[in-house]
Amino acid sequence: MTWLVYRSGSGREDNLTPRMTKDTVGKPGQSPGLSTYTTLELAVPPGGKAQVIDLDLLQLPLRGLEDQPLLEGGSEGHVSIAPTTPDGEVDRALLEEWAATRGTDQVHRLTVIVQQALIDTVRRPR
Amino acid sequence: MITPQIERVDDFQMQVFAREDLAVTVPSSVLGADLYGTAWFPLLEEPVCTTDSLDWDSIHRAVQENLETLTNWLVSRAPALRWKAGRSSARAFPLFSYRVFYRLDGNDYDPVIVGVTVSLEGPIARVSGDISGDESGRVYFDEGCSLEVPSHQEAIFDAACYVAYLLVVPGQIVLDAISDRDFQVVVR
Repeated sequence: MTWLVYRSGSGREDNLTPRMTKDTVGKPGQSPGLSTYTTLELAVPPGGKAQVIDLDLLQLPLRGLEDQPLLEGGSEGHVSIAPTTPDGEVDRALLEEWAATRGTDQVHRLTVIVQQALIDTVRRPR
Repeated sequence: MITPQIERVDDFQMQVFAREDLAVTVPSSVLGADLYGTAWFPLLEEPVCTTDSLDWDSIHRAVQENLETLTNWLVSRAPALRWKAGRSSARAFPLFSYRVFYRLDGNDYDPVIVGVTVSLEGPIARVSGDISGDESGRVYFDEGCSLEVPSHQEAIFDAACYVAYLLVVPGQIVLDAISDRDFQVVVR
C-alpha cells in the first residue's frame, strides 16, 4: 500500500525545501523537517493546491516521520520529511545543510529526492 | 493519423481516404504500357511523444515570453517589485514554468506564483496554469486554465502559450495578492 502525503503550495524547489529555523527545530511530538499531511483537507483550505508525495518513493536518507499527537507539539495527520541517520534519528546537520539552500539558486540533492517522489498535483474542491 | 506531406512524387500520386488509408496510384508508364494500379496502405498512428522526445526548452521560453508581459505591467505599477523566473520538474510533471512575485511588504512567506504546468498521461498532455500562493496553495485565479491536448510538441506548445496568455490578463489579481495588507503569516 502506498503512503501518500500532501504538501500545500507549488512544486517549485523552494517549496520542497525546508525553511531554516521553522522547519529545522523540532518540538515535543513533532520531528523537524518538511511539513506534509496525510489528507488533502489537513494540508490546504477549500480550493487550495497541493503536491502529492509518495513516501514509499522517497530514497534514503529521507524518511517520513509521523507526529505523536498525544504530545504537546504533535498534530494528528502531520508528517515531517527529514533526513535520518542509520539509527533512525533526524540528521540535524544534514537537515540544516538542506534548509540552507532554500531561496538560493542551488538545488539540494534532498530536494531532488522529494521531486522524484512527487507523483501528482491536486486541488481541494471548494 | 500521419498525413503525408508529399502528394505527388514524379508520376506516383498519393491520396488520403477517410483519414485512414493512403492510396498510391502507379501510372502505366512505370509498370508498363498495359499495367496500371492503386495500392492501399493504412495510415500509421501518430507516435506518442515521451518526456525525452519533447523540446521543453522551447515551451518554457514561450511561456516566459508571455509572462514577461505580465511582469512588465506589474513593474510599471510597483517599481520596487522583486520577481524571479524559473522552471522545475518532478515525477508528476516534466515542466513547471513560472514567475515568482514577492510580497511588496518584504515578507518572504508565500510569494505569488504565476505558472504553467505540463504533465503527460500517455497520449494526453494536461496543460494547466494558475496564480497561487507558493506555500499556502491558495489559488487566486485559474479560470479556463486547464487544457487536455494530444501529447505532441506543437499541441503542447500552443496550449502552454494559450494558458500563459490567460494568466497574463488578470494582472490586477497578482498586484492585489502581493499588496495584501491583511495577509497573515500562517505558522503550522
